[in-house]
Amino acid sequence: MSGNVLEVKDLKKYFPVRKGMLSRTVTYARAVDGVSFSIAEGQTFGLVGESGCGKTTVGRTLLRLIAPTGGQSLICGSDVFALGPEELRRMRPQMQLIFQDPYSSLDPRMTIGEIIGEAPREHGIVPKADLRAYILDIMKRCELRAYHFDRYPHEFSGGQRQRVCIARALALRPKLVVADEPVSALDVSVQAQIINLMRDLQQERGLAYLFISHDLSVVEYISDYVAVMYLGVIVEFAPKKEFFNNPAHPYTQALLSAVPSPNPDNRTRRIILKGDIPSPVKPPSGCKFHTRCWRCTDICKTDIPIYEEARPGHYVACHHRLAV
Amino acid sequence: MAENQRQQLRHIKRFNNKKFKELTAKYQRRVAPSEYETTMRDPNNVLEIDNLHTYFYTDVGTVNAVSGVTIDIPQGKTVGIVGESGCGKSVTSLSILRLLQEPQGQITAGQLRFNPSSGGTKALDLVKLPPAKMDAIRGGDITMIFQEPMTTLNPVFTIGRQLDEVLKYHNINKLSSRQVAARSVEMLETVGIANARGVYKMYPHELSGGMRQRVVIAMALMCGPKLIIADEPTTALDVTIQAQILDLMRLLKEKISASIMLITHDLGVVAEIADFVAVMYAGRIVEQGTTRDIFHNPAHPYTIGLMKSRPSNVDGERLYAIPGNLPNPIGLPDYCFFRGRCNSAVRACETGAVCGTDSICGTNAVCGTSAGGSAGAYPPMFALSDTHKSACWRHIGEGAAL
Repeated sequence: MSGNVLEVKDLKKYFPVRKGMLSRTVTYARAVDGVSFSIAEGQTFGLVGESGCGKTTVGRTLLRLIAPTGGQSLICGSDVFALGPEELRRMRPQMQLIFQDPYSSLDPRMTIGEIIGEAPREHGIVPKADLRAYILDIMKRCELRAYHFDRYPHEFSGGQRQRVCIARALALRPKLVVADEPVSALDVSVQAQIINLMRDLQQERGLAYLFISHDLSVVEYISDYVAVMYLGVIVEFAPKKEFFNNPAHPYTQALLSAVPSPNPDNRTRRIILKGDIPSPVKPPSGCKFHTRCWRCTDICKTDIPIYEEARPGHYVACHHRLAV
Repeated sequence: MAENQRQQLRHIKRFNNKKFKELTAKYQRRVAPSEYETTMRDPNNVLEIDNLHTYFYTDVGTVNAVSGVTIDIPQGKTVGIVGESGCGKSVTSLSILRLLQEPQGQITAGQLRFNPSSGGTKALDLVKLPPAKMDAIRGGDITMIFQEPMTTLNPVFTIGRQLDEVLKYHNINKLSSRQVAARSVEMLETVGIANARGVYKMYPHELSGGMRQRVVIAMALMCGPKLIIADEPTTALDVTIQAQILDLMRLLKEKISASIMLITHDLGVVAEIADFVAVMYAGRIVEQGTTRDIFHNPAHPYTIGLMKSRPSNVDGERLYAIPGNLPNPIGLPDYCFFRGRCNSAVRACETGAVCGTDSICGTNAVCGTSAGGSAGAYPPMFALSDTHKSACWRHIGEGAAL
């Protein structure tokens, strides 16, 4: 498919587990174990999962912030994993990242102007003489005031810091923004401000977002497509409407039912999963979810389910996919 | 400017030192039982927080973290306290257990009436209670579940030892060590830990986040508490684990008949398990009522804003965002703290109700001058129904001011 800003093919990232006096690699933690998806221009791809499922590793690996174990990541058509250092550097402005915690992702010794302006200066996005005006313009777009230019991060609230992070990412005119839990550390009212800002900027600039989050209500609001990860693999992928109306994988159903409802009369019987997410060092055989699944049968324990199209555009990896 | 500022800071420091001396002296003297024994307003309540004020005397000024909070916690019910970070909800819970950072943090006014038993014994005012008596209540009759199970448990002791410690400290029934251990294992089983005997011997790092939170809950249940304060018990957990823990809390509440005070920023969690809800903003309660009152007919503009800013499946529509930020907790204004961010301010927010000209005057007990102040004063609590109260001038004339 052409017109895709990002195409990820069979992405793998194994972290070595070292033991003993010689730190010999005894085994690998399969954080990401064969993940494929693509994002078109102006679209938001929501990646959902519990902590430890590998969603953050996907975001970092596809940007080559950590070295991949295998697979391909095509950003605007060029294979990021095959680029040399200089080519990679020239690619960097295309792909930007917004981190979860706006308190630790800003350098406390730099002013806001320096933080936002550093990367455009290094990459020569605008002539030196225009840099200040360019930064002020970006700041204005992200609803920061001009007098914030010479302030330091500690003078800002969490929401404003997240605006600075967004401004920093946008200053490079990226095509793809990986947003790793951008609103999880914020209060509800501020969260709404940031989500609105991200949507406005997307419509204005045609950005593609990879929106990584554990909060299903935020993902439902902002995404066009949603994928659920469990232990390093995508278990279900569908367009948003289809995903939330007809979840097919038992894990997705459990996740959706676990979200507390804001209606006190609607204290429904929820699907309560037993136990915790298993270790990616020793993933269960067969279907990785079978240890917690309430529909598990013998086949799940031995055979790996195929990730296949259950309905047009709706992909599931489950032996007993439901109601499809 | 700098000299001026320095002078101001020196002034604050002198003021604080004077306050510390005064308050420390107050806490250190011997307290006669007659001073801290009171009676409950309603004997069915476990705890009555009455006009609680907690201030922090910091080097840059006095922070009014909690100013005038009044909540009743009835026997066997769950009361949820919702608010954004910095609204004073955690400080309220720390005040109840007298765990404030002293001498900076001080309860400056108000009463915390605690009912230790439903029998004839006197209620206790936790604010005036001497430290030794407070130690007996803390962890015994009133227990706490903290947000972060990783930091609540001590990494160098086994789970069993940490559980036993609670019962040994509060050993009311004079149990032997073996009985104490048996009780710990029993409690671990109660909170749904399958391999209770094994976990008893484990260290915290061997358990997952959800398991650790179960251990912390077991610890809170060890002495058969009257009141459990749960401060963001599920915030650090994944949704599926959160569902497990909420389910467990609901189950336990039926089993042990303790009251729960649930502090959270998540409206969904509150709707899920609370019977009563209080919404806090900048150190005050802006609205309180039953869970149905709050979620079906939110009255205060802040509550309405919070509900609207939750992302749900409103397609394409922009999310409602409350404009602006929280006010600076130092030197809060004397008018409504939400006025600057409110989209439905009425004239009374600016001027207060004017006696004689407002139609409500005379027809109702409320009037700007009688209900606590002059022009644009902080709004009093208006009773919208028997259970539902809201502190907003919009309700002037709708209900009686309290």
